[in-house]
Amino acid sequence: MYVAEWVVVLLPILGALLSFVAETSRRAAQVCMAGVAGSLLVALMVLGYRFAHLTTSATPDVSAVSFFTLLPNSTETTIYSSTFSTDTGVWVDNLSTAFTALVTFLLLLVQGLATAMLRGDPGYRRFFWVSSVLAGAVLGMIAAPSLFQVWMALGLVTGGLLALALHRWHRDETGPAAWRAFMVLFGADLVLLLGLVVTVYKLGATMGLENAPAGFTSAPDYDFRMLATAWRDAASPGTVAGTGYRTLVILCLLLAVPALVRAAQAPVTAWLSGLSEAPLPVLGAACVSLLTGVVLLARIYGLLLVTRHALSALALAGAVGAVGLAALCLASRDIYRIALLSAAGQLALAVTALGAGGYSPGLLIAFVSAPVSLLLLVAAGSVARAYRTRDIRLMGGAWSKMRRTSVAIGLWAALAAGLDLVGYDALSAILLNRFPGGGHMAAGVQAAVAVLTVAALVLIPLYAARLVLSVCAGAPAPRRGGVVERIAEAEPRLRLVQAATGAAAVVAVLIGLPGISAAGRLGRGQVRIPGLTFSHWVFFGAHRQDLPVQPWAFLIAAVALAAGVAGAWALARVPWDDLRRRLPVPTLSTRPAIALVGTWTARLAGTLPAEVFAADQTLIAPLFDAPGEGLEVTAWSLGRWRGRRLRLSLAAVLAVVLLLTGFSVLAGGGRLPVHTT
Amino acid sequence: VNLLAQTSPGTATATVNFPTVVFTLMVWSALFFALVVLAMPDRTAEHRARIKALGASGTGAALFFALWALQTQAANASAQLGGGTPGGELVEDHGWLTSFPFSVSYHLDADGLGLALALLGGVVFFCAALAAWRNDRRVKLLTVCLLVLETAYMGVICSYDWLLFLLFWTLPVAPVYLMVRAFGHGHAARAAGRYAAGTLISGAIVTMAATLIDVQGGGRSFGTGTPPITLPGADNAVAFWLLVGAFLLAMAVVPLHAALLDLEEDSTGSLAAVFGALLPSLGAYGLLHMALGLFPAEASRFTLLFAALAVVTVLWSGIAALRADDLRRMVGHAGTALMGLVLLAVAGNTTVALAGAMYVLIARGLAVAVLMLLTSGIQERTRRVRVSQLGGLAWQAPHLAAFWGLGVLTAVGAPLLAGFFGLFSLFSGAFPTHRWATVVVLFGVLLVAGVLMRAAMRIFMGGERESFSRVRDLGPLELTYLAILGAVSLFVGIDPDHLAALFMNGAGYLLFQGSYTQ
Repeated sequence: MYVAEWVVVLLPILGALLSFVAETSRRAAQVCMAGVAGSLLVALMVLGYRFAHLTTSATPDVSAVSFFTLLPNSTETTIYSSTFSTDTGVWVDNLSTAFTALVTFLLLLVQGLATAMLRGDPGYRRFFWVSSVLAGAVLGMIAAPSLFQVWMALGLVTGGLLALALHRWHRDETGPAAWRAFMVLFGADLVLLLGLVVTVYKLGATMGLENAPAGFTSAPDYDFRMLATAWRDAASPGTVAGTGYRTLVILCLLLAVPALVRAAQAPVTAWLSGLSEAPLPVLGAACVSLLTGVVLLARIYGLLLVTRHALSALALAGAVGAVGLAALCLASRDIYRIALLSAAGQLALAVTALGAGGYSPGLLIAFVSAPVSLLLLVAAGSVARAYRTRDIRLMGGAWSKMRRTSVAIGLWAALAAGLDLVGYDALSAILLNRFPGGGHMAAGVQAAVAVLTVAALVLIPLYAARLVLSVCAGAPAPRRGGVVERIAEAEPRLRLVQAATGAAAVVAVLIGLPGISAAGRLGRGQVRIPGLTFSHWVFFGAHRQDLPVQPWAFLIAAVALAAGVAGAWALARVPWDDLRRRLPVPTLSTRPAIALVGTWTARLAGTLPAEVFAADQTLIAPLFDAPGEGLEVTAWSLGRWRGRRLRLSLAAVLAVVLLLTGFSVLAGGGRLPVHTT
Repeated sequence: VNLLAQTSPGTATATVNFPTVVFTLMVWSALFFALVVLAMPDRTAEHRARIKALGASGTGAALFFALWALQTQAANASAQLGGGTPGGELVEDHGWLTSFPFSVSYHLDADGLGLALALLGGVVFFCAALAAWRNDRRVKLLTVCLLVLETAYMGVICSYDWLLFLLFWTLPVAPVYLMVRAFGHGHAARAAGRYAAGTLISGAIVTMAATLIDVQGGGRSFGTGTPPITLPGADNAVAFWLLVGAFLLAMAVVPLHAALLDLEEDSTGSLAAVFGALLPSLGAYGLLHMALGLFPAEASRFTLLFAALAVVTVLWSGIAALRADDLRRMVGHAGTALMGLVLLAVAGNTTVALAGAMYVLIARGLAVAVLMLLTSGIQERTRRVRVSQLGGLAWQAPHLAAFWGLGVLTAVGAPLLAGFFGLFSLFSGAFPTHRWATVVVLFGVLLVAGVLMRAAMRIFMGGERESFSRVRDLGPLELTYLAILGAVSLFVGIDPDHLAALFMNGAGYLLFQGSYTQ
């Protein structure tokens, strides 16, 4: 049954390929959507099968084939394993089955959104096949059995996102944004490649000594099973030669930083927010792809666990990012930008929870926040279309004009503000402060992370409620060119997508409710459901974490929600333009220094290439001038006597003969070390 | 052949051993077609069409035998029958000059590195011959020169005798010089002169090294197939550095890259593709096969120098490419930067790094060929070659834009394209020896990616321009040869394991001759 996971990964790509033979763009879109829908169906079947067989997270089913095998020389096996190889295939565990089902569903919704929003667009067909390839790449990453496949799949995701970001390539603003996104993501891929390189350098020989998994003649490098053992060994002093705490820290940085970049965490969120000029379905696909960052963090969790302070640093980074991104959402007026930053901000809470030792809560937050974030994007698209603007200051009165879309926005706001229990999950992990393999954050770090998280939990309902009030309450803001009477509810197809996304968000929240462990029975009593709670299903290691309901976390989250909503209510009475004056915007004393550094960096970046290019022209090019011109002069002299073609040939031949003769003379004169007999 | 040797069952059979001639055919088939072309008239369009067809057939024949050799050796390598190391079932070794104090043999063979370059060369020459189809000026000269150049290229990578090697090494001077002078533009004369001078100097240095090796080695054999070599006293180092100098000159790494850049800038598209993709690869072959292969001990002593050179080449060329406005020059700088990766592999001095270098050489060659051919297409259509003068071309030429993207992604090692496994393997192999250099070079790749991608944005993206409204997209012929290059890139990227054993054997042979065991 688990071999069917191959179908999940490959079906969208097959759909993309088949779409090229479709006669019309519409048919091509249908073929692509059929591929993703088929993938969703099979993903649900695999999920159901696994769900029914009481399999723990620690016992994955792997179907893989060898991707490459290099046999280094026997003298090099101190660096590499005797068989330097890796596998590619599908890794079926509870995490991958849950997330493949989610991703296929969300990408199907994105494609559904595109059928409405890109109708008549010249890049209609292109969007569908690229998004299908992107779906295959994201699924291939989630179901990757090895770190090597993760790197490979993320590279494909980068390519797919670049192609999607260039959807409106004819606009001047598209190119630079897409280029920046590509450079950031490609840079992250290169960092990950460096992580792979360091992994095999430090742990390759160790992995080679491990027992090969079933179906393999030798232990494949980068296989997560091999890596888990190798990371543990590396953390035990004296077990692996040449490794220590420094190695583990470097590995953590090289593997976690690309994950955080993929998840668009602060301070590298700009690659995502910079894409806000792209069509909405492109933004939807980009948002779904953010999940790859969190899944990568989950896959390297074993390494983070055995590296002292790594998880604490991750928790701090996530908490700081959560506050920063929430503040950016509050300061933004572009509804698309808010939606993108909000998606990244929700994942920041996931990162925080993962760092605090909450493996299941962290993944649950990612699982829940993906449909919730997509819900805002879908609703934002409808609103922006109707109001012909993306500036929330110019909106208002959507409740009377677009009731269903307003409900969708309200649902998003309610969920994002705290009802999706994302805040509770993050806080409970922080307060519990217990890593799966033992250990915990230092008290000071815990306090700092908790304070930052609470701050983020106040800011999130603040901007969510402000957005709802700005868009839905009151009356449309009068502006030139805007005709209030034309504002109408979104078309049925968009409403359908909104409803499906909202339903998915609600289901995801229900799955995450803590404390539900209803062991029921299906069919004729032969199939058991182990539990509805996400943390009972996806957990680290062989035994699930004991995650008791934490009233304090619940209380703090509720208070933060109330404070945020109250703040939004208060701010809603202040006109937009006055808000900036009233808010205490701190003036950084370091601003001049930052500006100076920025100026000098820009100046250096501008002048260095010019200087190098000039040096290339003036210093290096003349190296060849003297001999080259000598040949030219010879050819020109000969040309006075003969035809042009012969002249060129003779010049070349003569030069060869002269050189060889010169060396012969040198050799004959004993100036070259030639022996004679 | 075997069917011909069989007799009817029941009768006594005499074993008939036919000589293996795959390498001979790979090397000389192009020259045979060149000779035929020389004898043909080229007065009418029909005559010229026949000549072009013969040119394509000649390059196609060489490609066919290159693929034959590659597949045979790859299968042997996978079955652990020694494919990828010299001396396999396809070796050709016959006495040639034996009446002198030294002996010279007609010794053709190829290791993994040679076969990788044979694949690259066969494909690029074939595509260049197709790309030259639309040329109607001096067709015979172009075709003959191209075929002679292919013979020289294949000869260099199959020669296992110094005299044979020197013959083929200096042979490209004439055809390249003639082609650049006859079909070049701008400062074609200067470019041709610079290249010829560089190659002749390189040839002279290799001659000196070969003489030194032969005389001081005491073997009295000009064969190159008995490495590693140990010469008395300082001769070892002298011979090694002579070879390194000669081949670095041919590789066109910084600061020796000016001649190649001129050649690429002032040639027509198909020729620039051949020059940019293949001529530096010959230098890389020489460096790996001769300098590193014959003197592994010397090479391992100076890895730091190669690492430094790799860093300088990648960064210098990458930064210079940032500023280059001329499209050909920009692609040329990017190609030079990628050649720095091969230097890093030499510095890495491991089989994994060298195997990676072979993949990288293929990817670099394919990428440069694609980008040079497209540059020519852009220049032909817009009469412009400066990036700052271009923009919005994807409106009229979407396929051209797509293939440019493919070329860029191949160059920077995007997944499932030729470069991706090469980069992985090369960096994995080089990191244990030179960590910081590997890190810097790795981010040099990011620089190259940024340059090429930014150029793509500026050339193809943006609003439609009136001046380019009559630009046409790629035609069927252009799509054909670009698709061939793209298909090879895809094949190598999707199934790198097909060539892995072959390349690893080749790399093992270079570093551990004699003691190499799988």
